[in-house]
Amino acid sequence: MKKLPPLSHLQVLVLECLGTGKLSGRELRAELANNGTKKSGPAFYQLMARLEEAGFVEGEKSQKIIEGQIIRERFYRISAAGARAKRETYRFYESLGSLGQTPARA
Amino acid sequence: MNPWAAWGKLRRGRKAATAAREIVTTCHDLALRLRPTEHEMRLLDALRRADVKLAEPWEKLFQSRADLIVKLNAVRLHPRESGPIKFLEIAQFLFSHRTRELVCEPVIEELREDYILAAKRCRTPRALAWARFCFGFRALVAFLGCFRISCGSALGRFIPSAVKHWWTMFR
Repeated sequence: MKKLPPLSHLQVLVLECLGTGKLSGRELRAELANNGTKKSGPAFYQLMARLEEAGFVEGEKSQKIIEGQIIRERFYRISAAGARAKRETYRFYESLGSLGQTPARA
Repeated sequence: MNPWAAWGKLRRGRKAATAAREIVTTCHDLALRLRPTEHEMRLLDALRRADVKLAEPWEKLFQSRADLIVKLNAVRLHPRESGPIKFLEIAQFLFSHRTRELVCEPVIEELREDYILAAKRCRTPRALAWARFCFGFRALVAFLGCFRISCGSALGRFIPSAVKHWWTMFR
C-alpha cells in the first residue's frame, strides 16, 4: 500500500507560490487568489501557521513604516523540509498517474 | 455651568487637541525624513575607519536625529487609529499565544495598514467616519474568523454527529 503524501493540495499550492523566494503574507494571499484559491485572512494565516509548525515554511517578522506608523509584516520562505515534502507529494501523484495508465497494446 | 458655554469649551478643546496632534504628526514625518539613510551610514562608517575625530560631529548629528525620532514616537498620538482595530488588538488576548502570534497579529497588521492608507485618502470627517465604520466591521469579521479558528475544532466536539452530518449534506 502506498504511503500518503505529506502535503494537501492547498499546501502544495502555497509552497509552489512561494517558490524559492521570500513573500509577505499579503503577497502570498494575492498569489493564491490569482491561482483561484481565495481565503479569508484568519483562514490563510491558520494554514501558514500549520505549515510553519510542521517545519515546511519559515516565517519571520519585518517592520515597515507607513504614514509614520510601524506595521509589522510576516514574511514566509520555503524550508528544506518543505521542498522535500513537495517533491515527495509530486512523486506520489506521478506514481498514481502511472498506475492509472492503460498498458500499450501490442 | 451654562451647557452652551461648556459645549463651546469642549469644541475649542477638541480643536486644540487636533492642532496639537497635527503638529506632532508633522514633526514626526519630518524627523523620519531626516533619518540617516543607508548611504549616509556607509559614509559615516568609512569616515570612522579613516579618522575618528572627523567622524565624531557627524555621529552626534545622526544620534540626535535618532533620539528625536524615538522621542516623537513616544509622544506621538495616533490620530488615525480606529477604535475597533484597537479593540481587536486587545481582544486577541482571548486566544492562545500561538493563535495570537501566528494568526491574529498578521491579520490585525494587514487591517491596520489598509486603514492607515484609507484614512489618508479621506478628506472630510464624514468620509473618515465612514472609513472607521467599514474597518470596524472588517475588524469584527476578522475577530470572528480568529474565534472560529481558535475554538472551531473544540466546539465541534460538542455538536451532535447527526447535526454535523446534516450540515455536510449542504456543502
